[in-house]
Parts: sequence; structure tokens; C-alpha cells
Amino acid sequence: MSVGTRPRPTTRMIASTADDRVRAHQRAVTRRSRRMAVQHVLWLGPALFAIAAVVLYPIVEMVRTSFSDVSLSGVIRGFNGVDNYADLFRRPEFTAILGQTALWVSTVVIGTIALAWPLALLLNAHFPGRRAVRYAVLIPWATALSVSALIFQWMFNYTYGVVNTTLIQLGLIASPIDWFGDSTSAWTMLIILGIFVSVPFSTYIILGALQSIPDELYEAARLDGAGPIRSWMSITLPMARTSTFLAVVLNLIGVFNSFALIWVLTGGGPGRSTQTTFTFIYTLAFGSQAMGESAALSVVNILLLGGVIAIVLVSNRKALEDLR
Amino acid sequence: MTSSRLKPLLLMGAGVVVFCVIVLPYFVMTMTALKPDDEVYRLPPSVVPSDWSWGNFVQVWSEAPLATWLGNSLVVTVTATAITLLIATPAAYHLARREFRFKRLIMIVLLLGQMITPTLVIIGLYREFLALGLVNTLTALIIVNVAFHVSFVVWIMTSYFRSIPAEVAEAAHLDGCSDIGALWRVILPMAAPGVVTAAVFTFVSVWNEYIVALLLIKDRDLLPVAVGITSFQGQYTVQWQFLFAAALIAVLPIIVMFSTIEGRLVGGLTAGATK
Repeated sequence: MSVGTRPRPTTRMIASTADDRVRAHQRAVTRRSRRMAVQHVLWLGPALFAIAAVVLYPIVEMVRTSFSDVSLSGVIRGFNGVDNYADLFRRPEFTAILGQTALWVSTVVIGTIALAWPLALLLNAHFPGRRAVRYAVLIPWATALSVSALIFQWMFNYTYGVVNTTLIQLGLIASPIDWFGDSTSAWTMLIILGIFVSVPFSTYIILGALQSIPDELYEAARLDGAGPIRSWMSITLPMARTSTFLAVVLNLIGVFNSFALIWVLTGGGPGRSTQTTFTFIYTLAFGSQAMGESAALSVVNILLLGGVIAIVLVSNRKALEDLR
Repeated sequence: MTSSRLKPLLLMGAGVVVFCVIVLPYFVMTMTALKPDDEVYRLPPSVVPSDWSWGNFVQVWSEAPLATWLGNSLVVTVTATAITLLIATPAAYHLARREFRFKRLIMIVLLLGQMITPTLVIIGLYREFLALGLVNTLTALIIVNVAFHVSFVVWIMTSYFRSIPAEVAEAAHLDGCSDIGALWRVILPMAAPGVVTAAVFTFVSVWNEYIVALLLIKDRDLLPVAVGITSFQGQYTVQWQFLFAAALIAVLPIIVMFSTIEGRLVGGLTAGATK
């Protein structure tokens, strides 16, 4: 036997070893990516599961309920198309409640931003006692909304409330105002409360932006001969634009979603004149036992809020890019 | 010259006005809580009590199941805050450190999670927990509060973790730490301000939560205090001095917590959103 029996590697064999190597590499990659996937699940899984199961799933459940025939005890008896939506839109109070919601959200958000700006400027300036004012601003924010609403209920009490008794002592009114008795005064009271509890958070957001503006900018503007109004217009406002935008968006969500304030202060009354869509969702589900309609209104609400936020975001592309 | 001397005075004047307006309702609450029964309903009303009834704070414990409500709030708030931090912190660390395919999608889910409030999906929540048989349990309140605060905490913590240089974790690995070990022993202590801010925000928000408890809890003895005190209203005539004494007891721990992080509130709030 000669030496040359060892077979020369054929092209076929070369190909197969290369294949093996590729396959081995692929296996390693899959193993690594599988290990990576396990890592992702371990680190992110619990948080994402909680959000999926308790934040996102209820939306699915609400949509399902809104297209279903629901018994008084809450059991789904089958698909009933858009009946719930039709019933809801046919309700005589429906348009009024949409209008009231728009009134509530727009007045409170505009009022809040209009007051938060000067307040943030004040808290950013240096003066003796600033710390005390900053602490005071925290109080309405830290207090439960239900508690603040209870205080307002007492302050606007017909006979003993500090508002009526002070107005009478000052001679501004002859007899007490029944604040809870008609829609205009009830709304006045609610909107004051709404702005009162929303201002602190917005103020702190804008204050955060003001504090990040370097003093040199103002110094430079002053050397260039700019007065306080001019430097506010061309330095402060543009620099705090993103934060103001953020405050508007967060307020829109918060005020639109407010339930405790209205429910505790007026209970939606007198009549239904201070009901918003959210208190009405509650009334429909637990007052009128109309779960299907209540779910339909919830879906309408999500679309409304989503729509409003989309409009605000699109109309402020620039601010949105800054947020990233 | 005169204007520079006048300015601090004007600012201080404005500060005093703002202070008074903001504090007024809470001042009225405190004074009412300290008045004896007949003075609460006296005309014209007194500004400060003529007879300081500190006993109201003692008597309120027998007027309402205040201790039970405070206990419920404490159990729900502490448990929910702890679990939220426990599951949100690793998620935030992972998102801050790693790049992977679905990261963008996860960030969007987190943003959605922040925009959706319990109020917005309350009917769905109610039906879900009814089906799970968890209505009228504190467990339900804990689960809901965890889920609705997770995205906020992940968001804030991610930005804190990003501000810590990657070399720190690498050094820990060289010293033989695992990922978890590096996070626990090295990174978390450095991110402590972020953890405290997130914990305080979650604590306050869970303590003050209203609608979920109103809806999911039927039994008066299982109510958290924020809802419990509003049930004074339905009872015969409202005894405002007791109601406000109870409210003060419930609010005090929160205000103390908030003022401890006052300095960090400004940065902490916007950290997640603008960086």
C-alpha cells in the first residue's frame, strides 16, 4: 500500500466542512440570541406583563363590552352591534355632557398655565421667604384630591362657609349664594378648585426649565440693552417652550381624567349640570346599571383624549422633537 | 437705583399673597378641625378657635374606623410601592444598558402606560377584577396601583441609569459581579436620588388614589383613608371638625415625605420626559 491512500479532500468535502462551520456558528448565534431573549424576559417581563394585563387588557375588555348585550348583573349575553353606542348618542343629556367636559378641560388647562407661568417666574426669582412659598405650593399637590374637594365643599357651605360669610361681611352680597344650587355657580366653584390643584405641578415643571437657563444669557441680553420684557420674550419663553408644552399635555390628560374633584364637590349636580364624561361613565354603570353604554362611553372617551393629544402633538412638531 | 431696592420688596409682597391664597383652604381645614362642635356652627364664624379642642383628634378615632382605614392605606401603599420598584428597576436598567430590536416598541408601550390612567379604563378594570373574583380585596388595589405606576418609574429610572457611565458597571463585572450584583451593589447606590424620587412619587400617588378604591372596594372596613373620609358625607349630618381632623391625620405623612425631596422635585419630574 502506498502512502497516498488518504483521500484528497474533494470540493464536496470542503463545502460540507464550511457548511458545518456555518451551522455551528448559526447554532451559537441562536443559542446566544435565545439566551439574550431569556435575559430580556427576565429583566423586562414582570414590568411589561403588569402593564399588558392591567393597563392594556381592560381596554380590550371595554371594547368587547361596548359591542355586547350586557345583563343587569353584568353578564355578557352576546354581540349586539352598535346598539350601545346608538343608545348612548340618543340620550338627551349626551351632547350637554360633552359640552360640559370641553368647558371643564379648556378652562382649567388655560387657567392653570396662565397662573403657573407667573408663579414659576416668581419662585425662580430671589426674595426673602421664597423657600416658604415653595413649600406652600407643594401642599395642594401632595394633598389627596378628595380632601381638597371636601375643604372646598365646607368653604362654599351655604350658611357657615367662609366664602359666603366673608362676602356678606364685606357687603358684596346681601344674602348667601347657594353655590351648589345652580350650574353657573357650581361650575365657578369647580373650575376654581380644578385650577387650584393643577397649578402646583405645572409650576414645578416650568420652574424646572427656568432653573436650567444659564444666567450668562440674561447678562448678555442686558449688555445688549434688552429690557426685562424683551429678555423674557427672546430668552425665557423659547427656553421654557418644551416644558410649557409638556405641562399642557400632562394637564390635558389629568384634567380630562379628573373624577374625585367633581364627584366629591358637586357629585355632578345640581341635576346633571356638572357631569363630565367620566362621572357619567360611573353614573351609567352604577346608577343606571347600563354597563354596555358605560363601556361605549369609555371607548368614546379614549378616542376623544387620543384625538385631542394627537392634535396638540402634531400642531407642536417642534416641541415634540425637543422632547425626544 | 430705587428700582433695585424696590424689586425684592415687590417680589416678597407677591410671595406673601401667593402663600396666603394657597394656604388659606388648608388653614380653614386645620382651624375647623380644632373647633368644638358648637363653634363650628356659629355665626359669624371665628377665624381661630376660641376654645382649642385638641380632643377632636382623639375623639375622631372612635367616630370613624380611622385606624382601619389608615392601616389599609399603609398596607396597600407600602406593598404597591415596593413591588413597583422591584419590577421597574431591573426593566429600567436593562433598557438603559442594552440595545435590541424591540426596544423602541417597548418604549412606546411604556409611554402609553403613562398616558392611560385608571380612570380612563375604569369599566374594563372593574369587569376584569370582577371576573378574577378580586373585587373587595386589598390585593386588587395593590395590583392595579403597581401596574399603573410601573411605566412612570421605569421612565424616570431609565434616565437616572443613563446618567451613570457604562464603565462603572464594567468595573463591577471585572471585580466578579454578575449583572444583578452590579445593579444591586454598585449602580443602585449611585442612583439613590432617582430611587427616592420615584418611590416618593409612587407612594404619594397610591396613598391619594381615589376612583379605583371607590369602585373596587364595597366594604367600609376595607377602604383606604382617601376614600374613607369622604364616606363621612353620607353619614347623617357631617361633623366637619372630625372629618377634617381625620383628613389632617391622613395628609400629614404625605406632606412630610414631599418636603423631604422638595429640592429634587424640580429635576426629578422632568428628568424622564426631557432628557
